[in-house]
Amino acid sequence: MKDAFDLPQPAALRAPSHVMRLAQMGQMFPTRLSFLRVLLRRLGSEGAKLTRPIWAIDARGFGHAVYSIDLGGFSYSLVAISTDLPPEKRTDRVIAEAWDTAYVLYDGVPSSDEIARIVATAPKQEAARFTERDLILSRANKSVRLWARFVEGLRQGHMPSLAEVNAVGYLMRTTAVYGNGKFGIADRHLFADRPGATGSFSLEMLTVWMIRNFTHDLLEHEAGAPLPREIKRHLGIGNATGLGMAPFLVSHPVLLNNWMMARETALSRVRSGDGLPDSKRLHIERLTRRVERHLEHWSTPDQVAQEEIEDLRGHWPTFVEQYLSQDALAKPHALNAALDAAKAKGAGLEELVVALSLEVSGDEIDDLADGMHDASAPLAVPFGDTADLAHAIPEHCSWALGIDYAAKSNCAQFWYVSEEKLEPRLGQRFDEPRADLESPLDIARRISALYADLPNQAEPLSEFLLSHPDHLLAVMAVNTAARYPYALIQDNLIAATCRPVDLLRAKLAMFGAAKFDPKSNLWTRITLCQGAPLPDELTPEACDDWWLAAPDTLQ
Amino acid sequence: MVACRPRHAAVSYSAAELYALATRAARGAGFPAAQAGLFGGALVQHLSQGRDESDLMRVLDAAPSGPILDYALNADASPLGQSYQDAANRTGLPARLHPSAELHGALERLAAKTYVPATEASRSAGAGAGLLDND
Repeated sequence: MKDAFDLPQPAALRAPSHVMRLAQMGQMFPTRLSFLRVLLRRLGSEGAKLTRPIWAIDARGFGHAVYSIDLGGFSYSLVAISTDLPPEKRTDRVIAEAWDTAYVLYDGVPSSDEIARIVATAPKQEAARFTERDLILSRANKSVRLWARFVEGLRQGHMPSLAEVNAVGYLMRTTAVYGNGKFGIADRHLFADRPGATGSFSLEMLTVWMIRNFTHDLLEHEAGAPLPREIKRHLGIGNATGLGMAPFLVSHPVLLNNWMMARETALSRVRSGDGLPDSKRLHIERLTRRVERHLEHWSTPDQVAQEEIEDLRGHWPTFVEQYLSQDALAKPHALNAALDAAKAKGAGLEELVVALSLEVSGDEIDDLADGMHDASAPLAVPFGDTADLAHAIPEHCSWALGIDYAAKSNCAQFWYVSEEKLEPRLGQRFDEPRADLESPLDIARRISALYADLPNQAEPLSEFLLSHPDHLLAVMAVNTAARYPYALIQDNLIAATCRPVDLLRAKLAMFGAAKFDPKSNLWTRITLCQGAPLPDELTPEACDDWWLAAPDTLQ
Repeated sequence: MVACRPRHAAVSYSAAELYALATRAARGAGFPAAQAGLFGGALVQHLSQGRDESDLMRVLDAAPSGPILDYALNADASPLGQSYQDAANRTGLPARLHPSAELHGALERLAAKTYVPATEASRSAGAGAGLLDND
C-alpha cells in the first residue's frame, strides 16, 4: 500500500478572492460544464430525436409550429409562433410589447386546445397568464440584417457565405427566456427532479436549442430552399441580455457557489494530473487552432471589448508556441505551467486557458456537472454571539471592509425595480430620484455596516438582531460566505466602477454563451448554440465537441 | 371557453411568483430585505397548507414590527410560525396556489411601493437604450 505522502496531492482550488472579482468574472468563457454543453451531451447520449408534428406556417412565414423531443424519459414540446411585427415595434429592450416570434416549452405534447391557448397567449408574453404545463416562456426577434438578405439570396439561388453568417452568427435573437414560475408558468420544483431537467437552466437551454432549429426551418420555408448544413451549424441563436439577470447571482449565492465550485474543482483535477497522454496533447493542439479562428471570427463594435479580443488574438500564437506546443506539452505539469503563465498575462487569457484545459478533460470532470444545481442553504443563524461574527467577517469577507461607502464613488449607483416592467434597473444615486427604494444588492456595504455596529461586549446574536433587524441580511451573507467560498461576488456592486456587464458575461458563460458583444455597461448580445449539433446530428461525438466552434475558413 | 371566463375568476399562481410578490410586499410594508424574503417563503407555505389568509395581512399591517421581525429569528407554534418552519424545512409545494383576490390585491399594492417609476432619464440611460435594435 502506498504511503499517503506518496499520493499526488490535489492542486489547490483558485482563491475566491481571485475568481469572484467582477474583473475576473467578466472575462469568463463557456466550458464543457456550461449548461448548454451539459444538455447537448445528454441529448447525444440519449440519441434524442426532434420531431415536428405541426407546421402551420403560411407563405409569408407567419403561423405556428410544434416541435417535440424526449429527454430523460419525458416529452417536451416547443410551440413556436411567428407573427407580422411592424418595424417600429422591433426592439430588444425588455419594455417591448411585441416580437417577431414567441415560444412556450410545453410539458408533454399539447392538444389542439392547448396549442390554441398558447398561440393566443404567448405573443403577449408578460401581459398574459400561463399554466403549470407551460415550462419556459420566450420570444425572439429576427436579425433583420441577415433575414431579408438570406431569404432573397436563397430564392435566387445564392447561398449565403460563411463570412456573412459569421458577421451576425444567428438568425434571431431571444430577448427573454423566462423560467421558474414567471407569469404563471411552472415552478422549477415541478420538474427539477426529472432526469435531464435537474441541471440549472437545463430546460431554458433545451428551449433555446429548439428555437434555433425553428429559425433555420422558418428561413428555409420562407425562401423555399434549403440552407447548407455547414451554414446551419454556424447559425446559433442570439440573445440580448440586460440587467434582468444580474441580481440573480446575488440572490442565489449557494447556487453561484456550486456553479463556480464545480468549475474550480474541475480545474483542480486537471492541475493535479501528471503528464499528458498523446491523445490529449493532440486534442489541445487541435483546440488551439480552433481558438485562434474563434478569436479571429469574434468582433464587436464595443471599443473596450474589441481591445480585449485583439489583445487575446495578439498573445495567442506566442502563448501557444511557448506553453501549448507539442514540445511544451510533453513536459511534466505542462498545463499547470500554461495556466500559471496565462494568469500572469491577465484575466482574459487565464479564463480562456482554464476553459481549454477543462475542454480536453471530459473523462475527469464531466461528473461534476451533476452537483451544480443545488441551491439549498441553511436558514438558521450559525453564529452563537456577536463575537463569533466579529471573528468571521474579517476571515471570510475582508473584501467588503476598508471601503468608505459614504464616498460618492463608492456608492454612486443603486439597483432598483422599475414600475414599468418590474425589472431590475441601475440608477445613479446622485442624479436620479428614489434611491430610498434601493434593492438589497449592496451586500459589501451591508457587511461593512454590520461589522461597524457589532458591540464591543459579546451578546447573543438573536438579541443583537432584535435591536438591529436591518443587519439580518448581512448576517446571512456572512453565514453563506463562511460555508460556501464562491457564493459572494467579492466586489462593491454600487460603486461607480461596477459594470453589470461583467455579471452578465459570467452568467452567460455558465450558460454556454460565446461571442460576447457588449452594447454598454448594462447589456450585451451573445450567441448560443453556434456550432452545436443540428437535430439529425445528436450523436455522442457531435454533441461533445463544439466548444468555441469556428469553421476552418470563412471563405 | 377561455374567452367566456369571468374576469374575476379565481386565478392560480406559481409559488415562485407569489414568493417574489410577497417579498416585495413585505419590503413595501417597511420590513428589511432579509425578513421580507423569509416572509415570502412563509407565505407560500401558508397558502399551500390552507392556513388562514388573515394571518398574513395581520403581520404585514403590524409593520414595522411584529411577527415578521420576530419569526425571522425564532418562529413560534402559531399557524404562521409553522409556515415559517415549513419554509425552513423546504416542505414541498403544490403545482398551483390560489390566494384570494383580496390578498393578492393587497400584496400588489404593498409591493408597488417598492417600484421606481420610469423617468426620461432612467429610460434613456436604461439597458438597451441608445441604439437601434433592428440590425
